[in-house]
Amino acid sequence: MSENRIYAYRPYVGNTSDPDDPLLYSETVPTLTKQSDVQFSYPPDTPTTTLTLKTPEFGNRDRRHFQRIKRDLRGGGFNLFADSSWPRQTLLLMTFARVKTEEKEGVLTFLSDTLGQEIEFRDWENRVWRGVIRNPDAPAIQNRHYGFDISIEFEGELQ
Amino acid sequence: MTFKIQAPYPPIQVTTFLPDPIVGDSVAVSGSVIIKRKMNGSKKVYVQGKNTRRKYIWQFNITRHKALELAELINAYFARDILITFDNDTFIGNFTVNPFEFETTSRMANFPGEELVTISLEFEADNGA
Repeated sequence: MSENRIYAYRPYVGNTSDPDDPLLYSETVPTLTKQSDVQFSYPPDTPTTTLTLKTPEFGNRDRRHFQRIKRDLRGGGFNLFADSSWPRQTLLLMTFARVKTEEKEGVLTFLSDTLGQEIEFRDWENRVWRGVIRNPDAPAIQNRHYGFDISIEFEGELQ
Repeated sequence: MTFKIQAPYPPIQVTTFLPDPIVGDSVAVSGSVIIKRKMNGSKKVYVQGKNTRRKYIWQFNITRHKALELAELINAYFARDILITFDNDTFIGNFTVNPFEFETTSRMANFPGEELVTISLEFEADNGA
């Protein structure tokens, strides 16, 4: 067994004639280009407001929530069911540390101006998401003498 | 030794290999009891048995690229039967954790994606499947 198989993006993808199977996913890894910053833009199509921040701290989370039904059966087993049209949520939890004092006002203004609006988010791997900031009331916390920490929850879909 | 996930089951369409889970994995009987106390002081126990079903929890430290691959598998088959082969055992069951949470914990130079991702998988299967 090649060690690369457990580290690299290398799924064995076969095929099936079952019409109920979900579409097969790509066998090649998505292109990820490291960026030194991230960017929030509003409105998504023709941005007039842009917020640029340094990349978030490690410890960021990619939380995927699926709607599905789980029913215990009388015999001791259980059934899981999900329809492909049922909603799925992807939530990005990020903490931006050491935001400069002058940048802090920009963040708070952006959060206020885009309250509940769909925005575009270009992440640190140059992937583009569209969605909504779920915690516009995120506080800017001064944990040290210089700079603020802000945690943002972004719910969106990868474009 | 590797941790092999195949989905759906049957027929198998996709196979993904993960490194071994980190120490701290667990297995538990998947049943519950409700204890009611009667007026005379005696007790009545209701059992919700689940036969031989067991709940497994495995935590993995994987590369960023492997996390992308696992995310694709979960996205496609989160509600389907899964076959897992690990440690000379096979398990047929389902992922029961929801939501799935990928946490990027640190840099991991010279590995695909160059970041280390942690994920915990909760899986229920019949014992000795």
